[in-house]
Amino acid sequence: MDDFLLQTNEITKDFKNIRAVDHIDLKLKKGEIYGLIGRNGAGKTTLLRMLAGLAQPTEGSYSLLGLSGKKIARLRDRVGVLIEAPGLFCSMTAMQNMKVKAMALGLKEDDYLKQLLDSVGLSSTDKRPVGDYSLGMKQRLGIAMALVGHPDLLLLDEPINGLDPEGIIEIRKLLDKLSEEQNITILISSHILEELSKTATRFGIINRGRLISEFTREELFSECRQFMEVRTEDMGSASTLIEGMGIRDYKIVDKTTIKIYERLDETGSVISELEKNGVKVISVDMGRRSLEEYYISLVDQDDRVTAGR
Amino acid sequence: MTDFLKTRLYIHIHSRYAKVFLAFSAVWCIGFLLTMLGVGPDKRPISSAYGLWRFMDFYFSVLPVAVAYWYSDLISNRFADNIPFGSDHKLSISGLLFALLMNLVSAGGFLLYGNIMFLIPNKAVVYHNDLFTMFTLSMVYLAASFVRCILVVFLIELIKSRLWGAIFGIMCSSGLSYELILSLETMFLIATGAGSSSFPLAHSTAYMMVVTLMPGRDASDQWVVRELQVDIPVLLLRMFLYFTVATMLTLILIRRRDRK
Repeated sequence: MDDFLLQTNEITKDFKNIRAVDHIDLKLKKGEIYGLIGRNGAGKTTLLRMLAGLAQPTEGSYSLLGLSGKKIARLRDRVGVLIEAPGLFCSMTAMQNMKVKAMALGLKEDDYLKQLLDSVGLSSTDKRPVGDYSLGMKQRLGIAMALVGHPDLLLLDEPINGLDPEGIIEIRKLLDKLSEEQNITILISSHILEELSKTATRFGIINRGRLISEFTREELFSECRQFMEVRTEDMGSASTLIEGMGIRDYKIVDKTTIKIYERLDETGSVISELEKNGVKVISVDMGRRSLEEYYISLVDQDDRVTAGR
Repeated sequence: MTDFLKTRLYIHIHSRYAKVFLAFSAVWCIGFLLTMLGVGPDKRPISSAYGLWRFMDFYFSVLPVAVAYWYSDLISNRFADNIPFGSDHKLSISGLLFALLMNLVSAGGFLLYGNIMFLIPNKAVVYHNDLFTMFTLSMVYLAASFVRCILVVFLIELIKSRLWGAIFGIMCSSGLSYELILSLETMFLIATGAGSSSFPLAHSTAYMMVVTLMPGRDASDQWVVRELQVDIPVLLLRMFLYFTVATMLTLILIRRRDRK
């Protein structure tokens, strides 16, 4: 248990008759950026709210930095949170907003607050009220406020929502910097896999409150790289022959389809080798699955399984 | 708890709400004083007790809105959503304490200013009530401000809306809730066939508790009140019970929300 900074154990949340989060087991190591992907209403925010101590689990538990139960509340300044909106006081300056957060946590470190504002590209001497800030600046200020108290864990709920491309890039660079320079563990949620794939090192797909799949960035790009899709009625012989050709990187999708990720520039010779050995090839296609297609396929598969129950 | 109280004070000092409240209060205080000195349009002679009642009317009118901000400053903009483990009851209780403290300071300030104002020789006050009456009246107003304060906090917690808490608070302050409850009470009495009620609910509203204090019908001159018209100990006891029950109910609501 101590190997993980955060570990949930069958954590569940019910709202009357609706199960928002359904027995989720999640483990986060120190310094990793974990991307939680799911469509709207999938349970991302509820899960993050529970982990931030802003909602009580109906069932299950979680431990953070080795503490669990009511003891976790001691870690108030070790966890940074940005749930949906930054919660800014719009008539106040950025520095005043930072001071509010520091005071709420019982901290008095003006110089540190200035450094934090600098680190997110905002000025501590800016006299403008934050109500005049752009959405991207507000989000960056929200992240700076979440960083008050030297947190080990940063929980960010859809921080790129509503941002323009420049704003998204700003946030991405900021998160990369935080992870590299301060080794902060970041749990970030979004419904855009494409965007998270550029930042997160590990991913979890949440659907209908359940964590249906987890994979690393390498696994994600492996799933989404270019492939040769061969359809045949004789899968047994085909797979044996492919192995015989020295191809190790392939995947049997179903009874008639096999995906090959190697020797893509030698399509002709692979197919002729199969046919020469009596395997009838129905079709051959080259393709590349997008990240979003991969995400949708996982969710659709889960929806079908759920509907079939 | 201390950290939350300091935070709330810092936010309030730097917020525009405090500036608006202070600006409006200053206009009222200066305007009232000038009226008293005889340069205003209202030159009717009054007693000091009646004058204080008229002066405090402004504070009671703006109190629901002020309380809504004092209580909800950390919650309304979702700031509290970003304080980890911040939904514990301490955050809400700090709001309650802050609202009560701010009310103590503000109501105390208004009462002090009001009492001093009536000591200045002026063209309006024709009858000066004795010090004991003025002190008693001040204490009743202070208690009344706490009653209205806790009522607004309770309504905000009950309705889960700062806006509607303030609106219903204003209704209570302006007497609208009194009229509404009185109508419901009358309907109830007619429906049940009862001729009269021994415990008129409408008269227990925060508005009526203070209004009945100052009937202002003294002989031929209705603006001169020589003595307070109600049983003060009973009135204070009713206010104390009102405050205690409303505080307990508010704390129950805070605790219930905390468990979710």
